[in-house]
Amino acid sequence: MLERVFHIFTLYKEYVVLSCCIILSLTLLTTNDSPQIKRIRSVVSVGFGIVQEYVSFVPQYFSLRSENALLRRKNIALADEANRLREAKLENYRLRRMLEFKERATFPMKAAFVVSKDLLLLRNTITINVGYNDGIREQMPVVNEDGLVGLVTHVSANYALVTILLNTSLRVSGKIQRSRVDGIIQWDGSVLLFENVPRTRDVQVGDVIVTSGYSQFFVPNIRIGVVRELGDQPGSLFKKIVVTPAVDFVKLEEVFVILGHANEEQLNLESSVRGVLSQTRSK
Amino acid sequence: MEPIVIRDETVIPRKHRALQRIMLVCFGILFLRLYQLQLLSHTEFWKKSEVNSIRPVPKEAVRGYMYDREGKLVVDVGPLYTITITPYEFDTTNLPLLCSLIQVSKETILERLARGRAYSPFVPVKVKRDVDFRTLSLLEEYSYLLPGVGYEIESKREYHGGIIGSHLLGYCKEVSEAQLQNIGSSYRLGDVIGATGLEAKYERYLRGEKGYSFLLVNSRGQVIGPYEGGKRDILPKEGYDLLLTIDSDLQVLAESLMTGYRGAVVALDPNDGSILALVSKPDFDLRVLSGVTPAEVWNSLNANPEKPLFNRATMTRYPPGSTFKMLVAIAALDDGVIDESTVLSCSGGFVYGNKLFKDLHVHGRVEVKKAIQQSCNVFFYQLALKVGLQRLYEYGKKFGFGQPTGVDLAEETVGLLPSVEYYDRVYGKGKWTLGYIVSLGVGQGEIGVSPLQMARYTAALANGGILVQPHAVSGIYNKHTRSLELIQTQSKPIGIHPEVLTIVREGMRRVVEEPGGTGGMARIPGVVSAGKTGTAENPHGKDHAWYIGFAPFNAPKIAIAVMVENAGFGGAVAAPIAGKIIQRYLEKLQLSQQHTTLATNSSTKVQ
Repeated sequence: MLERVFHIFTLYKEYVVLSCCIILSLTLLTTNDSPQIKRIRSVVSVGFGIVQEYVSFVPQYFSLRSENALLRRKNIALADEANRLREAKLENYRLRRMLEFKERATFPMKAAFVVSKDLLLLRNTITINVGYNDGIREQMPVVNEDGLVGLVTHVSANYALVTILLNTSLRVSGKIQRSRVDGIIQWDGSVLLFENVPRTRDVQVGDVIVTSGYSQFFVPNIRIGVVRELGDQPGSLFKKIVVTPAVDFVKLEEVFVILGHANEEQLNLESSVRGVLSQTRSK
Repeated sequence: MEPIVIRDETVIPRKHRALQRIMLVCFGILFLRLYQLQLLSHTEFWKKSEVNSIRPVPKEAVRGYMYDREGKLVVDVGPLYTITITPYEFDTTNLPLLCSLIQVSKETILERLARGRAYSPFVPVKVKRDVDFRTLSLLEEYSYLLPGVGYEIESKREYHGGIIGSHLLGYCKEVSEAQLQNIGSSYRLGDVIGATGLEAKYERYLRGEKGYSFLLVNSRGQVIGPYEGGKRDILPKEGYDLLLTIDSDLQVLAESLMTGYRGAVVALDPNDGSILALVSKPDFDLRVLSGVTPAEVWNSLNANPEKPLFNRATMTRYPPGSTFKMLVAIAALDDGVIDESTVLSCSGGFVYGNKLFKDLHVHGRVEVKKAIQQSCNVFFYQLALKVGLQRLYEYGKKFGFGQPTGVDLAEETVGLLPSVEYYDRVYGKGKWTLGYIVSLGVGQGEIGVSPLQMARYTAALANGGILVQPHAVSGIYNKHTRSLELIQTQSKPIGIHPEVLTIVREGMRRVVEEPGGTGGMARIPGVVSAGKTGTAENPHGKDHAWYIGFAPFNAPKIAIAVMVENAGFGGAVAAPIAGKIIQRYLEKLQLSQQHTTLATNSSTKVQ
């Protein structure tokens, strides 16, 4: 009996070993989070991105004519809007001057296209068609006109992987715009939550959440989302706050990467002061 | 022809067969052992392994909140974050990043890690307690780069609405070993317990009940997940909320008016004894004691010569000075020793035995109302002698002096109301003369009262002779049953003739409202109020100033006692403070009344 089993094994041992290896490597690929595997993953998705960018052009050719007409119409609308915005900007400028406000520094941004995206996993990412050569670095925030998209976490020469809000490993420090209540934005795999907000704090459905100034990655006051639902968690210090993201990730096609760290100057200042403080303390 | 030898493949050589048998025996032994472990001794080992593999993690209950009389949240609970590292998951190449984020030295973290690893590499070690939200935010945002770094959440008190309330609200402390032996098993070392003020008095309501969550751990202490999916977890039971009688606006105002002084303010609703504001200065920031208190902060608070931890509103024992004169007058009028029109003469001093008792002015011929209005000492020296010590003592007791007020704060002094027995005990029987009680007639000498007792006395003068029980909590809200338990307090009539009180109250009105009164600085435009100034003689330095008062005169809504240490004459410093507080409260009442009338008017229109 035992001999027979062994016999079968020796006959097919190459297959057995091969399938074992395949199973093992698949499990490793999907479960492991080590830097090497991450690198492989980013290489694969970048490769995939390159292919998709060229292939996806083909079917679009036929719809170009109608798209052209649509774009022309949109152009007129946009020109009108731009005019109005210019007016608003002038007015804004005057008001600012009156209040002796310094015009807030606008950050240099880089436009990019989304070439691939995951939306159904626990750790969703998108790949964009700008990379190291375009000045993109890790930990740069990514936005679109609606609000915060995510954070660049891996960069290759011409592509970058963006960890989006819908990713369990991304945390963003945010605040309720109206009542200045602080909290931390986190995706739990099915909904976006605004966490660590004590129950007695002033939060209402419909409140807008923006990035707070407590971040080393994100510029303050980027829109993150809107409070959709409030709940109680028995025995807990905190409210349960469910947030609808400002960005529609399903339709997401164009994004902007904010170049340069949000508050480099602040960081430098703080680190220099801290250095001095710790020196004086040790004395 | 060679015979065909058929090699029977199934026949096993003899030595192989021997080996097979040995293996069979070995496996047999193993199976037997397995049978014994898994089936025979199953229950015994199951229990052992369960103890080994389930780790109960205590969950602190959320302490009750406190709301002021208008329902505004005053005392809150916020998170206290403690940064932890799980040694097994932590990658030490990330150490510089972590150090810069939480501002803890590399050596400290490495040392904690080493100690933790020695215990179990899977159990998180604490590296920094009570970090601010900004640090937590940074850690959270960097968390994808910092595996193994996490945080635990405890809770700490937070305060809203600008209230300081150091002595009223009180603070919590980690329970001491001495306390643990007294209060029994529901507390563990490291638990927090109310130490002073309302936190201490209402500890058993505020505290709630601890819960537990059960985690499955393996033999090395690594958490595998919740035990039975968390079904067995015991949820902590939240503490009950306190509804305070405090008006937080008034409290904040009183605190700001007293800034820079040493002293106390107690404001009561004379109708039921609700404490509207209670201030003791100098005070301290409760927030420095709410989270992790560094030893040097605690030591400096304790060693401060100004004694900020000492509750002057309930614990000081100073002579009431001239504010005591109403009581002497009441005793005399009620006993029929004098009447409203009895006139005594004041020549600016009074000699009893061989001692001269002084007055500030020559008041001439005065009756009781004028004597109160102008605070004539000579009138009351004589009155005290006429009434006698025993009766003075009895009337003093009626107004609550020399005994606890029954306030719901953790600590109060009973003060000292001297009696015949007291003098006999201190000086010896027959070794003291009636001269001792002459100064008692103007509230000086041995007598000692707290500002809280004075406020209660004022409330009794205001409300027509009812001694109320001062209290700062009006109700306790049970969140689990959603029921509100109202606090019952005891008020009792003092039992004096009503017309006596009318006379004394008229004297007090003149103090504030008439020219020649000593309390003109407490006057409030548009409102008739009554009061009395006082100066407590201080053998160690400048005299202490008193002012007591109430308003509106005909239907009092607020009674107040203000004491300012070393401020000299009461009318100059204490009276204006009282006036401003009374004014603010009455304005607020008027506003809310207008609101209700507006509301009722509009609702009637709708109908």
